[in-house]
Amino acid sequence: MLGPVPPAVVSVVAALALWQLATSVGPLANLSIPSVTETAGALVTELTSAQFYIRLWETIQMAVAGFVIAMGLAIPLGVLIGLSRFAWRSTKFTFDFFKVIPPIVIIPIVILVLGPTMQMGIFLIVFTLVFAMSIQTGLGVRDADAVLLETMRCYGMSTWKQIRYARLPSAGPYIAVGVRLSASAALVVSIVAGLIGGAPGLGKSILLSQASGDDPRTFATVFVLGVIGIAVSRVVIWTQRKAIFWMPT
Amino acid sequence: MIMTWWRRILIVLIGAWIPVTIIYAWWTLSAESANPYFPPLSLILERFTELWFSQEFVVTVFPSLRNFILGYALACLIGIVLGTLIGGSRTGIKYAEPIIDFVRSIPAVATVPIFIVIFGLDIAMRVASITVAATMPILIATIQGVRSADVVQVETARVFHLSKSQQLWRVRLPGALPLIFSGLQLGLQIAFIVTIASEFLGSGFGIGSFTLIATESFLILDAWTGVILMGLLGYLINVVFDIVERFTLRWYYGQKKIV
Amino acid sequence: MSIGITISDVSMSFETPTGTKDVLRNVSYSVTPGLFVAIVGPSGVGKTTLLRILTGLTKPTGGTVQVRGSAIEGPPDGLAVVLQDYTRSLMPWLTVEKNISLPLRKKRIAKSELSARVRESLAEVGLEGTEKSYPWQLSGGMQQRVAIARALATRPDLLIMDEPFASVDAQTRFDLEDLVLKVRKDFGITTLMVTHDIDEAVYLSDEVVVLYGKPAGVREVVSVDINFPRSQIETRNDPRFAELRTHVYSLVRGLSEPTEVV
Ligand SMILES: Nc1ncnc2c1ncn2[C@@H]1O[C@H](COP(=O)(O)OP(=O)(O)OP(=O)(O)O)[C@@H](O)[C@H]1O
Ligand SMILES: [Mg+2]
Repeated sequence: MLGPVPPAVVSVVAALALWQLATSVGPLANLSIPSVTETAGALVTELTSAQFYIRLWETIQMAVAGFVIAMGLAIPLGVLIGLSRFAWRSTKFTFDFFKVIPPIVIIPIVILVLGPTMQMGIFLIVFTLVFAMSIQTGLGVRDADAVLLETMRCYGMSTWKQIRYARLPSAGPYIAVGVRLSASAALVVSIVAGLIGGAPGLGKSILLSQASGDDPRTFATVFVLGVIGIAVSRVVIWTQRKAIFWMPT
Repeated sequence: MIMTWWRRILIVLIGAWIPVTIIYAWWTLSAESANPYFPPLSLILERFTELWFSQEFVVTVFPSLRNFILGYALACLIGIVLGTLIGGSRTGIKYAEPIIDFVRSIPAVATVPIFIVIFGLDIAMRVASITVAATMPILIATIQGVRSADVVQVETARVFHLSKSQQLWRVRLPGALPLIFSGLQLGLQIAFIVTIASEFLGSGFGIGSFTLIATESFLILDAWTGVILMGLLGYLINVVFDIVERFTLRWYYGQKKIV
Repeated sequence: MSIGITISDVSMSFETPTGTKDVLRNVSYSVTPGLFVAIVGPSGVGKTTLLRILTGLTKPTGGTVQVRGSAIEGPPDGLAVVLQDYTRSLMPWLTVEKNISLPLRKKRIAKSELSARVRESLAEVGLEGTEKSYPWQLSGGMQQRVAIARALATRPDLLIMDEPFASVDAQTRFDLEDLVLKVRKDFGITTLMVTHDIDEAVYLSDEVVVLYGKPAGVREVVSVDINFPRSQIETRNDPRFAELRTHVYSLVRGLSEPTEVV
């Protein structure tokens, strides 16, 4: 006997059907918007071409490189500014400022200086992540339990021990959250760098297919990006559950 | 902790030395610069005042701001209304979740080409991309907020015979506001990014286009002023949002400070 | 006018992953209008469950609760509640004034009448002048008094309280107990209150209902024959008070047999 159809399947099928109808017989039929079948065709072509995987690899490479560099800079920096009140207050305004400035606005200058290259993408990713991640780490370090710190001081524990056993553990969950958000953001910026700045990768694929009017391919690539986005957030959450089982998120 | 006025000033001063140093260093190091990409800061500022304290500001920046505000306002409206409807119904969530999950996983900027295909390069395309991208975080936050309404509060409302709509307006939605605001803030940032992105990708008018065209035509000074202006606008928008949030949620922050 | 409430054969069981859990079986009891009734029993016996059934928030799996001669289908009219968790039952985004007038919005009351009622209720609980404060700016005991004021402002016929004083300090608790006695004297509202504190139950009420067993039933209804007004010092030193509390205590502990009337 067949069980009830899961709602997820129903709504996905409904959405696809709606799209197909609208673009084949419905109100959008004569607007040359790709239908489901056209997009699916383009998707198959994409997924069976070597080009696609090269582009995908480039996107991932940029994201990973930018992510690693940003974390390598931001976590130690965040610990430092979190440890000293003077450093924290000194950097507060500057870091907050750069944190809220969307990376996209600096693309024109970055293209000028670095050109449409992988380095440009990596630079954008680092610029996007480094300030938010430093602040996040610093907040964690500063959030160490005051009573615990006092107690340690009373027992005459060295500053290093206080850092090692109170400050860093308190930063742990903050860093974990920051890492998770940064990983997703790195991927997004990696794609944006391609789409807007012409850096290699899937973003550039969309830029090229759009410029050449290959609409089904544009749709197919964007579709793939959605799937990758879901996959990445699932993987990151899963990894963190495994790695930091004590942290309830 | 009571902040005396000189303490406040001290904190501002401590926060100011790094930006001041950066600007000073930029000014002196670029003063004699022969590097075409890094013109002297004095020239950039001169061009900045020349461009943006004139009619040019209205012509270039106004369309961007209009699209941004229109798209964001629509996103707020759609996100909150739809989020309340979906969040209020258990079956609604089951059906909507996979679609929402998918759309929000697409990088906001990457949806712009889709809207270019659908709407062409006109204003509808820009506003639609801004709206759709910015709606997602607002929608998700509202659904979560309405769903995670405090059981005790809702039951209290029921016992005192508040009508369904009163329960919604006076209990569920206010309780969800802190979460909704976090969605609104994310939506705001996305709306701004997509505003610029839609101008980068669909050439024409607006501050994004202006800057990109300047870059492509090697009008380096113009490009710098565009970047600086966009940066300042992005920052200002966040500042304004923060002020509105602090005011609306003063009960929330007041409560948090005490607990 | 204060009203009675009749509990007939109420049973409640929950479906849990480990099977059906019978919590209440055939609870029957009739609350006389105007009385103050305390419900006591060991932890986890089902006091909150019973109270939720009485408020109409939960439907019992068996039996009925009748108010004004008909079985309730939801929160009955004229009901007001005060819950243990005052930090959660007051809305933190509303001022004290707005919190108190929130349940009155339904009732089409004129603005002037509304603010008069808010003022009166606040005066009754001794919180004059806190109208414009937010609940979280007040101490725990004061917040609980706001909750009581909110209940009073609706002019209830029936007041139900679940461990209203469980999370305040001992001194505040005494003050709140006397406040409840005063409200009782001033308004004569039928009141049902769950408490863990046997002394408190005896001190405040006309009748103490002891729930006991798994599933729980009414083990005994103890009549508290101590005259009003009561006072923290005299009443608590009354030999009768000592007898009654010992009796209720042993019932709750399952030590003494019911109806072994003292
Ligand atoms: N929604 C529910 N689902 C399953 N079991 C429940 C539910 N609500 C209550 N119970 C169970 O019913 C029993 C009685 O719970 P209840 O909260 O009424 O006890 P109580 O007498 O108020 O306890 P306490 O004195 O600790 O407040 C408990 O064993 C509890 O686990
Ligand atoms: Mg209980």
